Amino acid sequence: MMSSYDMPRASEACANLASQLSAMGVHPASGKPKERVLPSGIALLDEFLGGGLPLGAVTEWGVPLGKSGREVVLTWLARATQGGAGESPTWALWVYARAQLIVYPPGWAARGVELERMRFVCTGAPLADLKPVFLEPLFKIVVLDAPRQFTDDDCAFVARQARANGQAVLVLRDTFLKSGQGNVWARLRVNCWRDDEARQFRLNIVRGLSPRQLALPDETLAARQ
Amino acid sequence: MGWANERDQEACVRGENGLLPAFAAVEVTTGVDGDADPATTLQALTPRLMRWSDRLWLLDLDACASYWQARAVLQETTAVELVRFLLRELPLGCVRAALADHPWQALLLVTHMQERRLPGFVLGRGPLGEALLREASWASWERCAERLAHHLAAIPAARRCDEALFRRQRREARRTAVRLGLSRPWQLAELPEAQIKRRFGALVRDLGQWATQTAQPMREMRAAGGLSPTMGTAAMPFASGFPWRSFAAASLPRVTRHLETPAVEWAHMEAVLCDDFDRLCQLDSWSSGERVVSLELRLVFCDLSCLIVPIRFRHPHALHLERGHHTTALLQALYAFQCAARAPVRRECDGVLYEAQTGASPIIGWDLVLTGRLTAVPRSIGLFGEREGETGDALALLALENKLPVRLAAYALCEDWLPEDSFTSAAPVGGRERPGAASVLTETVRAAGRRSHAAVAHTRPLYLYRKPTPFDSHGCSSVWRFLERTMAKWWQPHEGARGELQRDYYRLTDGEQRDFWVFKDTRGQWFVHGVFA
Repeated sequence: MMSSYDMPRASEACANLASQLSAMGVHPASGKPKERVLPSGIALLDEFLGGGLPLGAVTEWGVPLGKSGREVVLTWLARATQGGAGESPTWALWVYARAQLIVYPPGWAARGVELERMRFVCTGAPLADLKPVFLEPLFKIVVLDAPRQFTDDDCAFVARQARANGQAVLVLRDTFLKSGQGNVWARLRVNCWRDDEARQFRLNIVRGLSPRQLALPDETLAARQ
Repeated sequence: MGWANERDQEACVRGENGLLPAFAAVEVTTGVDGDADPATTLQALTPRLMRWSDRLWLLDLDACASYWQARAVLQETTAVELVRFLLRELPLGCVRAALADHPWQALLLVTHMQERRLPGFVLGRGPLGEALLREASWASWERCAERLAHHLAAIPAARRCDEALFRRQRREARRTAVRLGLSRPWQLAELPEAQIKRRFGALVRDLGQWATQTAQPMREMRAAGGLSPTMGTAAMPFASGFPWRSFAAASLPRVTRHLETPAVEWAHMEAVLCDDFDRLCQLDSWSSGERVVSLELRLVFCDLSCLIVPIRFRHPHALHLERGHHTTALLQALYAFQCAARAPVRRECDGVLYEAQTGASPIIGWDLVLTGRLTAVPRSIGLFGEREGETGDALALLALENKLPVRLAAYALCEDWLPEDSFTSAAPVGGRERPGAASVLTETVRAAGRRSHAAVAHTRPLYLYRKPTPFDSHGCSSVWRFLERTMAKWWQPHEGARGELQRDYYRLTDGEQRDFWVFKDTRGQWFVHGVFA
């Protein structure tokens, strides 16, 4: 049994070990490799997701069209394309499937997205048309907005490549997600929408983290942008 | 060669004219006495050239614009500045050059510079370029038009041009213009188009339009297939009627393949084709520093019929750097082959054209022909060398885009209040301005405008419908919130015809709690314009 005399030295040794493990990318408590995340710059949101958007993984988002949920997703695009906090700006790709729509770039720029580092493509079959994108680490964030042809096998491939390249791949669905359905390859599943009456965005973890909800006031998002 | 005007230079360095104009007219002194070949040297800038006259060359810079934009980012300069540097340093004996949005404008500028004995480099969008274009004389106009008629007559596929009639029409137009007090050909654009066409012919009307045309209509024509991207001897006029005659080299690098076993599927061809790309790289007729823009795979079938499959790269591709695997070239070849296999194509057999399916007959061989390339910039210039694993995100993006069958769209903002005019799909380097806007507004006013546009854009949605869709607002169980009143461009012909003066935008929440961006026009009609995604 350790005497009280040794306690300060032991705690100092523990602190040293923890910092060394942390530097090695290992979580001190669990012993698992520390997950790389992309913070949004909004403390509430980052805390809600356990540090930020996981890099090297697929996340699935339930954001029905017309409910403004994509505005929350844009916070990570803004952060990635602008850089900040010692990080250099990176490239992001937004893939959408609806041929009747076009993106409105001034709206994206006004929400903080740096258009010079942003690329868009309209295709219903993202893997058939964009396979080389997933084979190279150039785009750090790839958003697949309501892909029409995206099977479980496609998701498995994308998840593997995201892990290899350290990419964050977000698959946006046009319906709210449920815990019993969705893609097994997605690390995290979140529902997101804007509550017009309360003037806040609501996020709801469906899978991947302990069940929790977040109400993010409009002003918090606007302040980040 | 220096800048004719310091303000132009400053504007370029600041990036105000960040986008490269689509065309250049370059007057050179080399090649006339049989020394260096100017075509080969000019192909360092673009593979698409046209020999306008003995010393005057037209360059289609749009063919490699994104490449030069990326290079400029790497060099921390603008694409215009980079092209100016190359024109000055390349062994061309370049006397004068003009960059403009339309070949006719570039030609008028250089011809007028010749007349005024102005050496150097002029940007059509710059203050000096605009002034020179406006004061181009009837003599310069006449010289350009005479040569234009010559080129039109040489293209069988172009509209019929009776040179004598066109000369009479020009003389008549000039006489009438002078009688009306129009001292410069620039002012032809001020006269009603329909009347010009009726009195002096469509070609004279076109000359007036080309002198004032911006880059956008030309780019739209290209997108619509107005300009054939195929290199070679075919003379393809622009959709606008300009007689573009691509310069064709006397011989093109090529390799021939005779298959031991006829091939039907891509999998059978791939390894052999990779080998042929390697053989193409080993040819002495081109060097490792050159970049490929287009190739042709001329397939020969069992029945000895032929099919040309064009292989095009979005950006100039360094074929030599992929020796041994040729991932990019094989991907583009595959996309082209799939495209050819899907569509019934016209094949030629014994001089007879007929429609057939690519996969219907086994392939017994092919010719792989290098039809378009950027020649290497001499290392002595010291601008950049080609090396394995070039750094730079911009170049990495171009390399990635070369591997895709679809285009990755990039957007830049325009200083405009109307939603559909407030952005442009172009390579965003230093932003984009609409011609003329910059010259009339001070920087303070423009900065205030930018802030105002950004504030308005924040209340607008992320997605727009390609075309505003009319809808009936009666009986909608919904919530309406007024957002903004926007003035329509009623003075423009197509807007004016609709009688639209302004739009009142609302955020409409429907019964399913979905938010749409809708507007009511002057006549009270409702349209859905976007969706808050």
